[in-house]
This record gives sequence, structure tokens and C-alpha cells, in this order.
Amino acid sequence: MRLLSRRSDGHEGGGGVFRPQITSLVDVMTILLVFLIKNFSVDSDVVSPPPNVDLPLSTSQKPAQPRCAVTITKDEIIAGDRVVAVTADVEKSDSLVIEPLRAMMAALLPGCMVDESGSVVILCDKDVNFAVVKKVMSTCSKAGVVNYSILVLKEGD
Amino acid sequence: MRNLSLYKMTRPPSDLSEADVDVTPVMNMFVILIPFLVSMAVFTQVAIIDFSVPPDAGQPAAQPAGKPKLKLTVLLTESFLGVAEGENLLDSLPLLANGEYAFDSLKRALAVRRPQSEFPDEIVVAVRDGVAFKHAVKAMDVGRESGFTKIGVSGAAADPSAGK
Repeated sequence: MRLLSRRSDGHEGGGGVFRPQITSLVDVMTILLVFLIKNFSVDSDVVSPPPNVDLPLSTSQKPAQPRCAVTITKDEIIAGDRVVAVTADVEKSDSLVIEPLRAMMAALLPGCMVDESGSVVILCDKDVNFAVVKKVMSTCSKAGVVNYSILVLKEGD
Repeated sequence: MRNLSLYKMTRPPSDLSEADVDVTPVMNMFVILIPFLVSMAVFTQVAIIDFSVPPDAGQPAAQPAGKPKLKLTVLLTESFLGVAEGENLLDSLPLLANGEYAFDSLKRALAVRRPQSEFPDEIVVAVRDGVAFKHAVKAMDVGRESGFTKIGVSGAAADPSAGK
């Protein structure tokens, strides 16, 4: 009771003004504010990893840039917000070119130009077989992509 | 006696000691500011790694005229890490006892091999099928930390004579 109302201590007969002790609440708010300001970012929407992709960790510090993205999850391959292939099927396939992905990248390529050359960023789950990544890179190369990047999580964050 | 009177004089009046600071405006500011900052906060920091791929990735390469200049290559397989130059395997680093790749040893090997290479800024990470993507990323990190600024990525043939 002492914590909740100091003022009422002086009025033992009751009828005192109820004043909650909010010092600790202000302390929490202040710590929260400092933490959130530290994590504040105005350019958070450059490339956002989808929730079902567990990106690999890296020591790279190069900031992400807006580019066309090809996403490789454990289950499917996505380009331009459309599922173009199933990862397990691509892994088993003998062909180095994923035809639906090639067609999609050819259609997307005019919007993927950085410095007058086709650029793509690959968002790949860390546990995906490299054989799948190789086929995606080969397909993008056939579609005219020249510059490649992979999206990673900064180590330690 | 004198001390006691001084104590009485310097003691603040009881009204002052119980004065309350009105924190309502501060709390109002917090209530507005915190949802805004939560919406703009980034809890996972992402970065990119730039790399190049062979122009005809995965296809048998046409042999250029003259003696080809060879780049240092990190070979990543399911059973070992290797440093190669062309078809010459310079270093072979087996998996550690815990099944992890020996990336620390790779870093030391690259530090030795880099000054001898014709392309001290360029390295190729060649990865065999079956290796998880995260290991390829780690090998690229080791290459960059060893001073190579241009990183290429390619598949590594299980059987070099097959060319695929």
C-alpha cells in the first residue's frame, strides 16, 4: 500500500488521493526508448527477408541495395512474388536451367537494371543444397543477369 | 546543541520533500513515441555479398588460346576443403573432429598462397553439389577476410573430366 500511495499515509482515516507510484514505469519506458532509438532505421524496406527463409550469417558489412530478388526457400523458388519451381524437383533435375525461372527473369530483367546491367539478389535459406543455388545462378545467367549478390544476416546482430 | 539547531535549519520543509513532479506529459510523449519507434525498428540487420559467376556457368568452358592464367580456387566438398590453382590441389584440409570445416586453417593457407598468385585480388569459391549454402557463404567470408576483393562462385565438378 505504501508503494501505491504515499499521500494516503498522512490521512489514516481514508479519503486520501490515490497516486500510483510511476517512477519504475518511467524507468522502464526510458530504457525501452533508448533500445528502440538504437534499432531505429529509416531504410528498413530495401530488401526484407521472408519469414520462411533462414538466411546465413556473414561478416559482410555492405548495405543491402534495392534489386530484383530471387528467393530460395527449403520448399520453393520464388521470383517476382510468384512461385516458379519446387526446390526438391530442382535438386533432382539434371538440367542446369529452370525454365519457368528463366522466363520470369527475362520478363523482370528490364526492371532489374543497375548500372545498365541486369542485377539480382539471391535470398537463400542457409541449409539449401548448393546444387539448387548453382542452377538458379545458371538460369539467371542465361536470362542476362550479370551482377549477383546474396543477402545475409550480419554476424552478431 | 549547536549541531542540532543547524540540522533543524538546513532540513527542508516537509511540504517540499513531498512535492510531486507531474510526469503526465512525459508519459504521453512515451506512449506516442514508443509505438512509432517499434514500427520503425529493425531487429535483424542484413547485408549483401557481391560475387560474379562464370559467363557460361555450369557448361564446359571453351579453352582460350595460349596459356591460361589461373586464379586461386577454394574447393568446398562434403569431405574436405581445398585450395587449388587450376587442376593443382595445393592444400587439402579435412573436416575437423566435430564435423565442421577447417575455416581457420583455410584462412592461414590463403594467407600463404595469396602472394604467390597471379591474381592476388581474385578468388573463386567452387562448391560441389550436396554442400549446404551456409558453408559457401562462410568460405566467401574467409576469402574476403584474407584480402581478396573479387569473389567468384561456381559449381565444382565431382569428376573434372565430366565438365559439369
